[in-house]
Amino acid sequence: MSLAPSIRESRAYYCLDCGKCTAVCPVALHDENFSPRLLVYTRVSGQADRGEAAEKAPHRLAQCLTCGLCTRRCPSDVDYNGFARLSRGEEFAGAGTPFPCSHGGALESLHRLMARDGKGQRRLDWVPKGAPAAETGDLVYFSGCLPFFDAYFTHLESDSSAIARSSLRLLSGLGETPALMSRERCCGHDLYWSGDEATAAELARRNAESIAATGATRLVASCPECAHMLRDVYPTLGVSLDVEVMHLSEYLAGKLETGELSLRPLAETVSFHDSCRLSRQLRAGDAARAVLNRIYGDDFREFERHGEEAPCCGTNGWLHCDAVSRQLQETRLKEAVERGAETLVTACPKCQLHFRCAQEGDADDELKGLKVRDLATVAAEAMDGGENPW
Amino acid sequence: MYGGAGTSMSRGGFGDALDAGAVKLEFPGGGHNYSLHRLADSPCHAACPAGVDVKGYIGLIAQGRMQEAVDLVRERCPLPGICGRVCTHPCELACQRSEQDEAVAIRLLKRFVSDWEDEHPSVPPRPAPRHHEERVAVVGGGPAGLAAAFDLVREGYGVTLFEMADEPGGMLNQCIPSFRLPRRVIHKEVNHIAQLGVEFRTGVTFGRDLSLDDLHDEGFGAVLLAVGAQLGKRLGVDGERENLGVFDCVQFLRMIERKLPLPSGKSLLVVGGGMSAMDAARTGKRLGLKVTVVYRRTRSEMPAVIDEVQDAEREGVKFRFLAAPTEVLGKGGRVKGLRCQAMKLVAADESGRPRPVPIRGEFFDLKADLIVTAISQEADFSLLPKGDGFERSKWGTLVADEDTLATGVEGVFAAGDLVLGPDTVIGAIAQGHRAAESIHAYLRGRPLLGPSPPRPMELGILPRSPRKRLRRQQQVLPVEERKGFREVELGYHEDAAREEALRCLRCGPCQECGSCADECRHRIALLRPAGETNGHPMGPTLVRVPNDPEEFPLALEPRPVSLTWPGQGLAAGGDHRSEWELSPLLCKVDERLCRACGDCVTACPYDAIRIMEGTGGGSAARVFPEFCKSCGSCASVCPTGAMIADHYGHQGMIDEISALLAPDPPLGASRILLLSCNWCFPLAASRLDEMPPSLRIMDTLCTGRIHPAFILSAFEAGADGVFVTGCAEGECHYRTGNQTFLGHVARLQGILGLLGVDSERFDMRLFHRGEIHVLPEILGDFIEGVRGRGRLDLDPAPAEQEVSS
Repeated sequence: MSLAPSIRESRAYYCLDCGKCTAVCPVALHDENFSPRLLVYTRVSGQADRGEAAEKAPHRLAQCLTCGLCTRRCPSDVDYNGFARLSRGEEFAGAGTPFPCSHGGALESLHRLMARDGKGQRRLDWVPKGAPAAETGDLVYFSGCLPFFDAYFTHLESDSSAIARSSLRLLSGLGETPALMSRERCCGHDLYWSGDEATAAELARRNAESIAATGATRLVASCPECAHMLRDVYPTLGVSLDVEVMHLSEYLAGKLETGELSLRPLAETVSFHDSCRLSRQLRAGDAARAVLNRIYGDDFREFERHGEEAPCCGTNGWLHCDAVSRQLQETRLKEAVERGAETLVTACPKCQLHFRCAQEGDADDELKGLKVRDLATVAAEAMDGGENPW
Repeated sequence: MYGGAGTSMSRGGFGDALDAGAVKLEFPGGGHNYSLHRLADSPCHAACPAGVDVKGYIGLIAQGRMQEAVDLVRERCPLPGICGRVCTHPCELACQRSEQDEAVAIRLLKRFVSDWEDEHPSVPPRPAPRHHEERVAVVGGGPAGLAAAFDLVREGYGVTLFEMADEPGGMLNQCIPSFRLPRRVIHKEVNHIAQLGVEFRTGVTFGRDLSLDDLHDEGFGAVLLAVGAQLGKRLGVDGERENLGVFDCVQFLRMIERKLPLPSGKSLLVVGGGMSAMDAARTGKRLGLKVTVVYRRTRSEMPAVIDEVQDAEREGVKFRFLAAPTEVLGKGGRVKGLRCQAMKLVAADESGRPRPVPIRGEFFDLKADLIVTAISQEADFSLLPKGDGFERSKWGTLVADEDTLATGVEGVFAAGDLVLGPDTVIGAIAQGHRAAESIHAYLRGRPLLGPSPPRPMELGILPRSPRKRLRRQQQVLPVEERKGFREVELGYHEDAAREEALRCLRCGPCQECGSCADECRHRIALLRPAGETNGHPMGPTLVRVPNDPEEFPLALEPRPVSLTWPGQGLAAGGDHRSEWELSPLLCKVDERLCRACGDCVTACPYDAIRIMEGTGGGSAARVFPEFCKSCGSCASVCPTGAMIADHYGHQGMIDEISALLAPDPPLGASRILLLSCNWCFPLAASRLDEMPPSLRIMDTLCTGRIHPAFILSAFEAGADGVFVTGCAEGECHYRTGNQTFLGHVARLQGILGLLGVDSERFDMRLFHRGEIHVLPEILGDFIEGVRGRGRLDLDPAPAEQEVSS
């Protein structure tokens, strides 16, 4: 008997139908028709899910956030993330944009375009004049799609590039002259998790070339999805990088330990939202906390569900978004407000945009009043007092 | 599945079988009738007494589609060349452009298309097919009679028109001087009506040579009396009858027209302030007389059109305002002058004009050898049948039912000045239409028409700040050359006409150009139900008419309909019928995906979306079908894909774009995608022959439907360039759909710039109405620009490429 890779590689056949996954699944919390084990059951049995029409199956498959809470909880060691990812690949093989992607699949389209030869991106336009940057160097900074977010999410007044500029401030403040890559590509995260492994691998190969050309031995990414892809996923795609990959928070925590980084306190009450990739995949939640504790001390109010237990922000990449997404975002924002936080800090630019989106429209005023900032931005402010060196 | 994607370019199909206004969709069981309709009228259209599709023909002129323009005018105005010269143009008074700078020169544009037709003679009209046994007698060949005859012959009746003079035209011939209306124009337009099959019997005076009984004996089923108001009113003052040299306006102009000798003299006084007074005065100048117009109010109260007053002044006519004649002064039986009472103006009277009252004791005398009274006219009752049913009103007109125009005698109707008193040409034409409808109803045994419902009028959204641009001036005969009766106005040249037509703001939601007939050929029709659907009054609905009836249309809730269209143009004749399914195009919500963010509510131009409690209990968007026009703006801004634009589905559009771009372009050519809104699409498509072969064109319904992902997917599918056409700001047929698109443009430019796609490769142009004729040129430049950048090097990398680790 030959099993589909989605079942074989994820060990989905171990599923005991115990339901512990459902108990922790943030989607299932708001949508009673969804559960991780139901996804498995549907696929393993080859039957449409119980009580729902078969046509909804692709939608169900898209709903999974691949946050990994269920995987963490599963007593049978089923890799639900891998199951969802591979199932998507099998289900939508060759279909271009799978399932109804959020933003019409525009961002996936953008990622695929980056997997091709181009005349040259203008992706370094965000670099301020006078900022120390080079084409080669010992440390390379991976900005990911930040400048693209600013171009696309104009209605959210996205300032994702600020994360990149802050990262640059932090790196240069620590004596680095980071290499920046004009031929950097999307890390491939969203395509990989949507099941388009081939294009993700193509992006990985191209990024590997660019990274190798910098001659760097260390790589810092401000986006945990990028760091996760480069460090954890690229090797599984047959692409190895000869660099040490760090998320910015890990880099900063390291510099705090050595005493090279000094941060002034900022007077503000904050909470910190762990992003899935940062805290469960990269296990860098503690590094981020080290930075925040230094800056905010007692004004850092931890969520009840935090670290590896933290819920997802509601949307994985730009793959899928719905009413459940918004409920998850609103719940998280409310928790922050209830803790008296003035600012919700994240260390993932996508979490930040998703939260900002939830603050739009008819959201409650108290939720709208909450600032959502990135770890890089607050850390840069704590380092240089908000005085922009360039 | 047909409904998945937008319509890409395809030719052929239904061909000429479909005609605007002629499509009927019937549900079995007598459910609903659909017919092709326009939306509400624009102000100019609503202001035209005869209902001429003003905006429609202006749009056609702007596009250079002159024959179609003149045909469209003729639909409601069978005398385009005449109205183009002498119409008092209430449309221009309603024109919203006057709020910005100056009304569009509508009358001159009408005249232009008529002139254009003279210079580009086409096949003469063929006799209208006879559908009905009955024959109708129209008595009087003025504009009312001509319009009624025109309508009735086209309806399929036998029509005979009796005219007292040798040439039909009535007052047009007799009372409008030829320097304003050359006789050849009347001749040509009468001839057009004759070619349709109207029989003209001239030199027959009703009441003398012909009676109602004669008409009855000859077997006419109905009679329309449209003999006009031919008797000029007199001043009714002392000395008027005793002295030679006092004429009423009709007499005076008729004498000139017939070249009869006038009493000798050097100076002429014209009493009155209307159009006839101006005609008499300007005619007087051409006879070499010193002319003064005497009017009891002031310039601003003159009923004459301002252009005419100005022309009279330019030609040397003097004005004496606030003067009311009290006595004609004479000597030896000849007129020597006019005694006038000085007047002053007090508060407005019933006519809305300030009322003139005498200034006690102030009189003055004006010298004159001739006096023409142009103060009003009344019907000549001496020639009308006597007896019951023909009642004379206190204004000297024949009494007829206000709505039906029926007289008191069965089968006899009356229209024009005979009923209205002296009125405008366009007013008479309107009455002719009304009488024809009434006679048609009478002869078919249907109830006669009730009061006409007010025509709905919609301004639409006007451009906020159009550039100030005054109307184009026409060529006119220099004043010094205005000696004889040569035509003064010379009209527009084609370039000037097109330029003037572009000044139109296109008020109202529909271009009214009638090109929906073309759209049908391109598989799109605008349909509106005659009744109600599901208790909701349904809005106008776009339906695409397929080449293959099997396909049409796959909707979520298909309902069977029959489509009937006349067999006109097909050898077989008779109506054609086929069975269809129809569902309104509506945007829908997938509640599973809706996060109730409200972006769709903001984007919807029709206020058709609300965030409400969804079926699952949470909040979700809901589309109200009675307001939704399915423009798809909601779908292009929806962050989750919950909003679904029916028939223009997201994945379907992307698939179609990929399919369109798949074939290789000719060697050396680029691969260009043109996304076009539904209103530009047929026009763009009709110019496809002029377009280069590298172009792929696709209809997106509205630019508001264009999701940024469509453009990106086009580049993914190998496009070297993408161009978008839509309606200009303020002119979007879906109100603000184009604004939604503009919101995406900056986003796309940002993304493409970062990607390294040259800015020359993505462009758009939002066209002002009728301006799309410049599309081939603009597209040519775009394509040239793209070619200059070479092929877009976004090809997939070779699959075998490996990076050694």
